[in-house]
Amino acid sequence: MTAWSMLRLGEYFSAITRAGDEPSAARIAVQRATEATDAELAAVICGDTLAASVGLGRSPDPALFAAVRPGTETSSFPGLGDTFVTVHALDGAYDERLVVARAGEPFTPEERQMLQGMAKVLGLALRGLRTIVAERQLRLEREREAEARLVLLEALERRERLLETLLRVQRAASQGTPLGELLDSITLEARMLLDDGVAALVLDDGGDPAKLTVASASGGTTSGRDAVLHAARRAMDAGEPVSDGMLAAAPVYIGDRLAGGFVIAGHGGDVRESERRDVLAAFSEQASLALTGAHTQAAMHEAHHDPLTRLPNRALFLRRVEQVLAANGGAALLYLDLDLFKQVNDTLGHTVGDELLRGVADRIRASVRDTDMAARFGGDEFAVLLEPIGGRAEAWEIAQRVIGAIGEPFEIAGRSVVTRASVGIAYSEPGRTAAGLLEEADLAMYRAKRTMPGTCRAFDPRMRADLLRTAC
Amino acid sequence: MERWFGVGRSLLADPAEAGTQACREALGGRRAGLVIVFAALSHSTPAMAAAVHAAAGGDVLMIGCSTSGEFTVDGRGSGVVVNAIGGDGFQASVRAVPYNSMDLYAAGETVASALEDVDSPHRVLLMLGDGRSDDQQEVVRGAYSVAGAQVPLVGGCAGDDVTQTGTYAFFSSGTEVRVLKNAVLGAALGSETPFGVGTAHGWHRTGEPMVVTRSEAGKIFELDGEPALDVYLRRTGAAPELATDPAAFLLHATVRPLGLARRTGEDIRIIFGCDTDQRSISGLAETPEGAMVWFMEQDTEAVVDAAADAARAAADALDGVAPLGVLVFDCCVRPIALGQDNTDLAAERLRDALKPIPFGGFYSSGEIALNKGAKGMHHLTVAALAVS
Repeated sequence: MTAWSMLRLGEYFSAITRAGDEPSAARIAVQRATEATDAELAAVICGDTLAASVGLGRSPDPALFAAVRPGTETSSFPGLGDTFVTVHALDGAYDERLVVARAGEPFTPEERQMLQGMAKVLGLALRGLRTIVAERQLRLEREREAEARLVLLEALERRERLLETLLRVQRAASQGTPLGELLDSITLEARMLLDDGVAALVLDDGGDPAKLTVASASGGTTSGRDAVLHAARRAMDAGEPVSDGMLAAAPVYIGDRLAGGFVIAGHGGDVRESERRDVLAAFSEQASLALTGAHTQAAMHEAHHDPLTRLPNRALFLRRVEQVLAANGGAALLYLDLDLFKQVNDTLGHTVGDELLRGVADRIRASVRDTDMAARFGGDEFAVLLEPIGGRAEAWEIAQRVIGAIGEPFEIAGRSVVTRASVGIAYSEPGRTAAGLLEEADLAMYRAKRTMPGTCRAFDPRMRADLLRTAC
Repeated sequence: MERWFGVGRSLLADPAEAGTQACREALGGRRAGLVIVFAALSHSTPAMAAAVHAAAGGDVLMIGCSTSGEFTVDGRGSGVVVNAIGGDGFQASVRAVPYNSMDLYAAGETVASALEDVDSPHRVLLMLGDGRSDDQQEVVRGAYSVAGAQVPLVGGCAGDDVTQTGTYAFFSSGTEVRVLKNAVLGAALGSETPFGVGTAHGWHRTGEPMVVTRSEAGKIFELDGEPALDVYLRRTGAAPELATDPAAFLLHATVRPLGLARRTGEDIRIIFGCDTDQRSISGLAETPEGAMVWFMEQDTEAVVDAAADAARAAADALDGVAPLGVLVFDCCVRPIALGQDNTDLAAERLRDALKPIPFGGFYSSGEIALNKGAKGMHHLTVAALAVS
């Protein structure tokens, strides 16, 4: 699952980079901020003026929005009554800010972080547009020297590159690029924008703020690892960007939690101080968003997977089976039970038992197709959904492959450990439920285990009758 | 005289005669404050508009549009439906913006400015958009910028019987009657008692998501880095030849829409065309780059119930006041997706849900409803306005 806020931010980037002037950039920002969060009101405030607003009609009293200060959580607006509010600086200070208000529901940390990202991008866009206006004026006045003009144009180009780079990183994030690669691309892109120097992401070690490590870095380490860690620590302690000679750092968050710092270093060259600050602010936001998104995904994965084997758990598996049955697709279900597993656990210990289960999971994965889904139900029971399936022979063949793979000895802690799997197969038919199909595969597995362990049996309705007879 | 809401329908072949008959039935001898006309493409003539206006006594506010079919408690059909509202404490003011005279955002601002003439305790902006404009959400954004969070927006976009030939709007701010092509109209309504807005659709997303890697406004060039048309045909199981037959592609694509990830559910995007040279696909509303999209699938029972659900939600939003009548804006693709029998069933359920409250509605090319938050343009949806 990908966080919806990440996707909205991607769309927002595209829209804001197309804005031709300051009022339209501010207007797009308030529209998109309200639409993305189902909020009623939003405003962009620059100093004492209202650059854009939505939700209170054509020309609302600017004081209504200006009165909402950073840190305020609720505010009252005419006609709407009490609303939840959130305030985000477009730049370092709150002189220019985005205010969003929603009735009925407070903003979540994820939403606040997304709005923070939107505010930062608007800040960059506004400054870029202002630079263009400034450049035009200067050109008209013919007062500028050729060299100065060149510097300004280069600055403009760099700002454009910054926006393009951010858009590229956003796309990578929304396309599900693995976190490691994404963080590396963030540090790499940041360094390239700075022309020189180092960009590094420092994170605490699994929630322990005392231990900091460099999670991703790009560029030579002329400043030294300790200096980078020290700068990150200072930004974390300050809770805001800090600058110290060659080094500058900004805090990085996972959701609401302070998780580390983004550090840039270098002599600067032609890059102005203000641009370095922009790059630092934008990329520390990007790193926070990427980490928050991945964290949400990891939590989702955690809830649906067996921690030992990393296979899907019973709940996720059954949901998938239900989906496939609902679509009336041809499918087969394998139910696996390991023989001799208890003996392994009892004689060689749980560590070896766990290792064996992991090994079995790996071999099941390797024996089935990419479209199939293997799951662990707990203990020594596994299941595989084969989908799509051309015919019974195909399911049978895959089951044999799984049995063969599990039957090969496992090398665990210097020993050769042997197990085998008994497998039951059930085939999907119209009107079957996931639970019914599972029960049939279980019955077939039980029959295989009883008659000839380490083999495979397909479900036959008579098995149900036999079971009843045995029970009676 | 107490506030009232009347509906009339006529299927007479002559547009002007149908207009007169429908209007007389809606009015029942009363004097209306506003008449709202829905007419089939075949009946969308200046003579019809003039006949309705005259039958309402002349010098009356009127808005209306062409449709892809209309319906009332008497059933579905292609003719003229007139809805009329009047009585004590009812206020209305109307605006029209002709096609191409200004941008869509500004058109939304202009129609919403009608609200400035209405000072009742309860207000709503009824909007009739042009179903063929590129980015209908811009009209709603413009209207919201003026109306603000206190006034709900509701309405539908005019239809052209799914012929893609152009829509008509009927307008009068008093004595003169105008018929405008591809226009945007608005009517600010005011009352002593509440208005209620409801929506429902019944679609949900299915399968794996795709990322829009290249798009411009309503046109999608690439999905997951591949030509969008190729991905679309493959994922919907269509033969490649389908792309060369626009009519067949339209039928196939309208019931296989895409949905954009949103905070609460999805924004539906109907695909209606393709370009075999560019390998692109086209929808009516903007599908931005960087967005993640899914195929949307219908839950038939919920789609059938959507009209009844939306109307009931609108009536329930009246804070306990009894509704006088309901206007229903029902997406024109829904009958295609549902088929004849289920469309009849949907109409039956709408009738049963509202009985004995009168209602008038039409099959629209985009539905407008904004009651909470700031997003108000919908597709494959039913939007309803209850008047009390």
